[in-house]
Amino acid sequence: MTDDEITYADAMAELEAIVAGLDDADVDVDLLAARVARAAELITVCRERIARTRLEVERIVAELDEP
Amino acid sequence: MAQAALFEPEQTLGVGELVARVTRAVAAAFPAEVWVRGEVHGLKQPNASGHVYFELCERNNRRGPTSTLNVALFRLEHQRVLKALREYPDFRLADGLEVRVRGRIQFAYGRVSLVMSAIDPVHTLGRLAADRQRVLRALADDGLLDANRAVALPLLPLRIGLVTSHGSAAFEDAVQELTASGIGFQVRVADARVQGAGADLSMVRALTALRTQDCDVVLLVRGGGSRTDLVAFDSERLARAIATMPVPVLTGVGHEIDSCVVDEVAHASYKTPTACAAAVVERVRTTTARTEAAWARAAHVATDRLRRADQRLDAVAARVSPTVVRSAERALDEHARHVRRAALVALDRQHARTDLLAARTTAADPARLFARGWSITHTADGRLVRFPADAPPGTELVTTLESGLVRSEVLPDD
Repeated sequence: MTDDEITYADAMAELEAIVAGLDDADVDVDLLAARVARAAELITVCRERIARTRLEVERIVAELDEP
Repeated sequence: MAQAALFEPEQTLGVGELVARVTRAVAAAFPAEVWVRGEVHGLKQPNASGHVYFELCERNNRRGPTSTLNVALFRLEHQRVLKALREYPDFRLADGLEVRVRGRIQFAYGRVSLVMSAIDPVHTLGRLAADRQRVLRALADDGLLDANRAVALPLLPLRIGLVTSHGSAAFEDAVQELTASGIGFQVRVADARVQGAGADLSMVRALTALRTQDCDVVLLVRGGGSRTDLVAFDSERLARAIATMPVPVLTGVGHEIDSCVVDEVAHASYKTPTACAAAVVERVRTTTARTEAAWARAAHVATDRLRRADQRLDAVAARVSPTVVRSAERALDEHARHVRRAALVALDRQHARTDLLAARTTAADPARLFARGWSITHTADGRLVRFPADAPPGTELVTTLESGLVRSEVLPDD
């Protein structure tokens, strides 16, 4: 599944799991970098989704207001 | 000579002498004219010579024999009698009438007869009037005077029973009036004799026949006649038959002055057969006109009500719809605002959550620490060194810097 196809809920769940794992004292540094990179991707995906949804909401509500 | 005496002829009369003696005896017994009272029967039209013959009868009791007297009214006397009767237009000699007549008793042609010279019409008329009063009282006593009036005349009396002498002028007048109206009357004719002995019974039978023929109304009509012609219309049994008819009976018996008993018991009475039929025509016309008027009124009222209801509906709609629509619009606006607000709040919450996760991710990123001069030290066999005890003297260490590794060895404690 690419990030374009992933649902927001799945993205958020994966992100939260990664962040929880970052607090683990025994995290492998090489792995840590990879995880941070993945978290950053997921954050970008979620932010895009949120921004897109906000636009969509505004557009729909504006259409409702039209006569 | 007893033997001879046996054959001695007794006194024997010749027929002529006997008749002459009887004639003389009758003449001696009735030297002057006498008044005789009786009921007229077998009245014949004047013969070729202008003479009139009839019988006067008297029933001795209800079932007993009837006494009969032949009456001769010769031409000259007949003319005199008719002249005298002109003062009494209500009177006309007819079968069934009780009359009081004056005449000479004679024995002629082998029988006793009365050669009439005068008549007392007052006796007959008085007797008729008295009979009428008696019949009316009897009907009143039995509660029959208003019985037929209590039967309602239908609003549309179209099925008509007609009691009269079929083909008479009265019949033609009534039928003509009904036909000329152009209304589709159905006429059931019950033929009856309307004059003379037994006329009342004939009309009773006609009424009885009509009882089973689904009539709306019955017309009993007869053309004009004198009081004595109409004696059958004073009959008690005819009056009772009319009173007990299940449908209204209208009478049209032609007479000018007073009324007959049947007029008193009928639902309504009219002067002529034509007037009687016209009353039925008028009844139908009135009903038709009233029905049409009522229908027109109903149609007008209905149309008017519909129009007013329409106007009221328009008015209510005009008042209500903007209000309703405005309130619905307001509700929708409110829902729309709520949706937008809720969506944005949800998005904000997700945004904040993402920001928090991003901050924690950033904080965990080792690249940032290396860039600021932090490093990580492992033993050569890969264990993380966080405490001095993790690296006793002599331990070979591998330190990761921002770029590259440094290898070193732990010196012994001094």
